[in-house]
Amino acid sequence: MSRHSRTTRRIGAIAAAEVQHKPIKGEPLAFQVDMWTRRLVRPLLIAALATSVSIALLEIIRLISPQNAWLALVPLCFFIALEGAYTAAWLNTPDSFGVDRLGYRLAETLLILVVVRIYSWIFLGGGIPSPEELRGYLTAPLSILTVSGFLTSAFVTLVAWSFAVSNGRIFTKLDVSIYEIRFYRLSQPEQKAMGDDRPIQVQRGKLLSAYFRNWLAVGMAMIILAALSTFEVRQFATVSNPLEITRLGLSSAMLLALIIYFLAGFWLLSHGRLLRMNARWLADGMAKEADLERGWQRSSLIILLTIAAIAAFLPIGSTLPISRILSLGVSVIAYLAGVIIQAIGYLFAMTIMMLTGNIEESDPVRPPQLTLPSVEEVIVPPSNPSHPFAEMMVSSIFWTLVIAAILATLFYFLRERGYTLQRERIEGQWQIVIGWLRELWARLAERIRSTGSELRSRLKTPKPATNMHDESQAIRTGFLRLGNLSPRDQIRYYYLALVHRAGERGIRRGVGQTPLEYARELKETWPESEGEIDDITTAFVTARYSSRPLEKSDALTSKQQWRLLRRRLRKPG
Amino acid sequence: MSRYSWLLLLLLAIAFLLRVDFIFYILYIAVGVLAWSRWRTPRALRNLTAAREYRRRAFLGESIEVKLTLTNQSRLAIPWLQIQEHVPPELRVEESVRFVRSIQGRQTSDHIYHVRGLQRGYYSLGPLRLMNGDLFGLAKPHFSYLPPDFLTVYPRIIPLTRLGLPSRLPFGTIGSHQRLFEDPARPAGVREFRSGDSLRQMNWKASAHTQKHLVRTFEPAISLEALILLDLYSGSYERRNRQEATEWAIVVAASLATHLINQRQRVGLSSNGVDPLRLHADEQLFDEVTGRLSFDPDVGEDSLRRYMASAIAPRNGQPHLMKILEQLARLDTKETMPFAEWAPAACANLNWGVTVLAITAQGDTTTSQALHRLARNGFNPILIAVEPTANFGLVKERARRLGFQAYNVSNPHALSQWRQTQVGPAVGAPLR
Repeated sequence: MSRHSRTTRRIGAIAAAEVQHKPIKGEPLAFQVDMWTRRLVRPLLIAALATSVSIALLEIIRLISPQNAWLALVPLCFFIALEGAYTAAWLNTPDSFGVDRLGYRLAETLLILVVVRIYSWIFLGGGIPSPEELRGYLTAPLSILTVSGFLTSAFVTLVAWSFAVSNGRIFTKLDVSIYEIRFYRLSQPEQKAMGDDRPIQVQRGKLLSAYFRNWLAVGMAMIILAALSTFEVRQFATVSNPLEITRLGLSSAMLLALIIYFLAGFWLLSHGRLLRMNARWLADGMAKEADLERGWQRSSLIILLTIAAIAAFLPIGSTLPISRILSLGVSVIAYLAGVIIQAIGYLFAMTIMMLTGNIEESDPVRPPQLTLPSVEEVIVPPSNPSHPFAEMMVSSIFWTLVIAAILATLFYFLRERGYTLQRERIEGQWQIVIGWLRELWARLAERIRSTGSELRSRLKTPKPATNMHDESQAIRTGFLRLGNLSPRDQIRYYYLALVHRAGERGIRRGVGQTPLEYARELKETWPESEGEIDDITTAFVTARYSSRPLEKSDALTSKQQWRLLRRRLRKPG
Repeated sequence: MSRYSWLLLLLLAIAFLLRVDFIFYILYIAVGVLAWSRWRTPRALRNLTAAREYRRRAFLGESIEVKLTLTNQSRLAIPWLQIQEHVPPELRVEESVRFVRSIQGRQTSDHIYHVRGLQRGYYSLGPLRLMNGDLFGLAKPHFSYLPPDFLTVYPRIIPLTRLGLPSRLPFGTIGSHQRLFEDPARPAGVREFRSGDSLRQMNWKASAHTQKHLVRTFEPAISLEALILLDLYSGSYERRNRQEATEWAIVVAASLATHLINQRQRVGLSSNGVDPLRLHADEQLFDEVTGRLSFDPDVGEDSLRRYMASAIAPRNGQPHLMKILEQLARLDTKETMPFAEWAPAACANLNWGVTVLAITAQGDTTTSQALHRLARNGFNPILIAVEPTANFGLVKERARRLGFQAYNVSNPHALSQWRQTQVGPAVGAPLR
């Protein structure tokens, strides 16, 4: 048996074995998930949750620094949080597994800071900086960080963003992955055959607990912030008990933030429960339609809103009496703790002294005399004014680096998200711009040509000499750019300028006098310039009455002759 | 204490310590969500009714539609309901029987799935397990069950057309070659008078017309009232292919019964196998692998006799056939009572001349003697051996000497003579 046939037989045996061991393909499990819930409802809820936190922070900042309209940052915080939620979801998709998380987050943070800088300039700093202000930022780059509440805005925005990112990450992990859906939708024999590919179980219970803990902790912090927001800054110094500082009503913004935070949090809790059940149903082989998820979201929203509406009509009792009792209890506990600590300290000191054995001899322990060191007046030498060139160099390098970093970050951020630089598209758009410029140039050239031809036709018609005078007057008064004129017009311009200058010097061109007659008169007055006068007159006659095409060199020759004549005409006498 | 209770306590503590009255509002919402979840979840299932509709009997390979109907009698919706129907593995399911669904208030939701019986037996469909929970994970899930219903899958029936079994009973509806059983209601023609012919058979008009003595002739007919004695005593069958042989015996019994009932004959069934349905409801166990009702209690041989299938007396009609097939679907093999001991007792109440179709493994001496005794008692025993036997000629010869006929039907091919397409009138032809 030849080698070839043996190989063929082996292949056949292997193929037969594979066919024999191939699992029977069954009907895939009808398990559907709702994309609207994932792509719209969840990110919006997470963004709302994070924005409510930023509202609470801004409300406190507003109390401390009431001169700025801090609440104008709320829309920015919402969009940044939304971006964070979407990015967290995107970073967990299989397409982005190769993305460097740290680098991407750093790029995202830098871009957020840039956006916050621009936003705070517009809404907190009275608009885009003027050129003088920009010049100041160029020379002193770090001053850009300290104006228009940038640091505060950046802090609040980054808090909202990080909260959205952490929650977005939790919910993305809670959701069933594409691998789980792909595996568990297979029929049982296929799952058994592909047992090695079974997805690793995610600890969804722990993830949900993590969300609940985060939500609870931040919620408590928000309540404390709400309590702080009821305090007037002026009264802070007069309050002895920190527990008695909350005496004013909550502001509407803070109320809104609290309501949004807790309602959105409850809704997200329901959503987390849905995701956890989803994973269980998928693993158990339960068929599910996408309508169930929509109905789930709808039902939980209706329940929450109904309960919230009913709760709005329930009486809110005063906390004052119980608060006093609790305060008393806390004071008693604190007092007892102090006594116990003092007693322990006393016993400890006694023991030490007994061990050393010189209780009577030892001097009573005196507290050390705290004397403040005398503050010496340090005379700071006036700093030498730095060299302006060096200062400019430093600031230029700084801004160049900053702009390069921002551009590189933007490019990296967009490239990783799939927005690549399309050279063909840019070249196409560049060609469009070039075409547009060419068209513009062609229009201008046409306009000039038409003007020239009109001028020529006007010159061709017999005109009285006064017309030429008028023309020379018009040349003087009008604004002409000689470079834009055709050689023929340039020659005419130089000749008419000569007529104008000669007229000023007393040699006026008479009515009905031809250029050659006028040239004769000029040559009698300025005999040393006879050649130039003849040349420029001949050139003018050619330009005026001949259809021969004129070159730029002709115009240049006339220009040089005109300059010589002008110099001579300026000479007195 | 659950984490949610911690939330409530923390809210209360902060409300009192910081004296922020608004926290009460948040507290009301938190308590409201908790109360709703714990109040609503158990009540949702109380207002839910479930029903299962299907045909209770199926032929082998037939697809049966099962319709689950869930009705929410409450005005409030059930956001999610996990529904899990247990279907035995032997009933191949064509659609999913595990799914999650939401049911609106006052809504009826139907789910239809199909099962296909691939093996005779008595199966349970269900129980239907319903699980419901809240939307926030604050209440424990609640369960409800719809009790199981049962489905009988009949054994395989091979259609027969030419069953030519001998009979001792005249005046039936099956045509026969045995002249002894001429039926006066079936005139066949005339022939010349022979010595010994009864004068009552003379056809006087024809004789006058032809000037010859002519007598009337009649078609013979028999009545084949039969009792199928199905031997399912496990000791009768060889161990190595006991399962196949007993299943085949049941197929032969079902095919014979169906054919005879279709011929409007009276047929009965008696078997020494066990019927698991005779067990007490608590003892009934469905096999985990196949899902069939099986007979597994550990009882002695004497006790086993209590669970032997009850005899079905010979009757005709389709309802009677269904009764026979249902019992055949359930029967199981056990060491109850050997054929030779059981057969005389099983035929004790039969009429004279009834054909006894004894389906057993092989026609050994003991079995033959038992059938001989039945023949002597006036019955018409016929031995049908279902295990392949190399020297069945000896058995056949022994049976002939003892006064009954014997057939070896060890595979579907052996039934081919009974399955030939009928061309003319149904004339019984004895088998080999």
